[in-house]
Amino acid sequence: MSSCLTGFAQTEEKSADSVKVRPSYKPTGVRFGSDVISIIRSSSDKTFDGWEFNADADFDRYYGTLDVGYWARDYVAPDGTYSNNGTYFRIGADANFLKKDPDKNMFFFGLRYGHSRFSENLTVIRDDADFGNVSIKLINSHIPAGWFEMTTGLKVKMWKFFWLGCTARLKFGLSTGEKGDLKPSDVPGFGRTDKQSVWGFNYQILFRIPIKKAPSIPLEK
Amino acid sequence: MKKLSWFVIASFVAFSCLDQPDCFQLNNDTILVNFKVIGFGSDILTFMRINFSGSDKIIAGATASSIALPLNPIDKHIDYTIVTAAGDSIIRLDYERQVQFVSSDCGERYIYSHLNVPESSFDSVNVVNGTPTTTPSSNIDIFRCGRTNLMGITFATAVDIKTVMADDSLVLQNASSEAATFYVLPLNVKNDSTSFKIEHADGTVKNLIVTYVNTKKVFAERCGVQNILDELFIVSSDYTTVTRSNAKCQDLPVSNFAITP
Repeated sequence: MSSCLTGFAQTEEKSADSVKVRPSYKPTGVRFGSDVISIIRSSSDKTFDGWEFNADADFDRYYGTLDVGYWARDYVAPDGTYSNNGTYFRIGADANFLKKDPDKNMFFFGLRYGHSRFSENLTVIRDDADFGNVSIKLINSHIPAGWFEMTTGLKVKMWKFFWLGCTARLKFGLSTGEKGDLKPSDVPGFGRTDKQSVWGFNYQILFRIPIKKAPSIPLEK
Repeated sequence: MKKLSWFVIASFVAFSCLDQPDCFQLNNDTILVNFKVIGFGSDILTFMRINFSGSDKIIAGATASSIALPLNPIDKHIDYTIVTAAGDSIIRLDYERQVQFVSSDCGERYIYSHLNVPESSFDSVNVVNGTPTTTPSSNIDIFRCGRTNLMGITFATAVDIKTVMADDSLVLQNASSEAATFYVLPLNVKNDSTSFKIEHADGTVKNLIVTYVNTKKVFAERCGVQNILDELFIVSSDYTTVTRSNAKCQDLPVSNFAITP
């Protein structure tokens, strides 16, 4: 009895009114899931094909995150065609501001670094008013792109291991590594390149695999 | 159920904000060329036509101080030939050209940059801005060497001048017999004064003697040593009144003296 009380005293600081638990940064679980928006767009939007897998692991109220995905675009214009395809990943961290939620539901803010490698090609056949017949075929092959993101969103436990999440992300600081005459117009994972910053949304279905039981938060006296 | 309702609401927001492609910019495929005089200012050029490589089209003749010219979307260089009464002048432009897809509705756009002039038959060419803008703004200045000895005289009423002799040399012969209020007469750069004998259409002859300060200057190596004529002054005149309005010769010529016949 006295040794239990002694052991309990090693991880707690007693004060007159409350008991504080020292944070443990060992992961208690890993979540895997997929972005629903990409799946729905692939079936409803003829110009888009893609998927995205998401994963995160908790370190107390902080989460390491990894997203991996694939995008492809296919457009037909009055005077030509454009297509691209490539893979991307995002790596980053979130901070959960629902610190005392026993289920570890999240309202978070986070940062990401995104990277893509993609190919694209453009074909133009048109009549120019001054220069007559214009026929252009340009290709970018396996070029890199990188960008940064600020994220916010929710991840909420629905039932046992089943979670739902939504993430809003502000993407900025895009750099692309093209060397030829074709300027990228759409980067997988980032989107259109004509703006300095771009908003994106993900809607995730997630499954959490517990690794370790989270330390219980004692009741306040 | 309450948690699920958050996500149903969030899904409407997410789907409503899906990226909608839009026509976002026009091409920057037109440059603005300005005509200027070395050492002075803007020039006005009268040309009969302008041809450009890669096209059968021409730009029709006009009189202008600047002109908008197209860039070739197929090549990364273009030659312009400006045809005037004095002959043909050629300017060659090199540039970078990128193509970017915009949307299914808009198609592609062309992005031009890094203009430079590797070759030209003009006296001088300066690239002001190597990146054209979507609405034409100054990109290239084309310079000619100035004519530094032109004096302008303005008559209070239109007069019909038949011939003008300057230091016993014929410098103006008006074959059209049209009266005008403004005439440009050349001053003698070898001296500090010029004597004019102005024969009017009605047969009257008026004399005019002009003095000036004659200074040598090099505006540009291509133009060589030129004479700057300043402090113009009428020392003798057969006209009723002569008033100086500008003491210095300019190119383009300005009115230096106002004369009452």
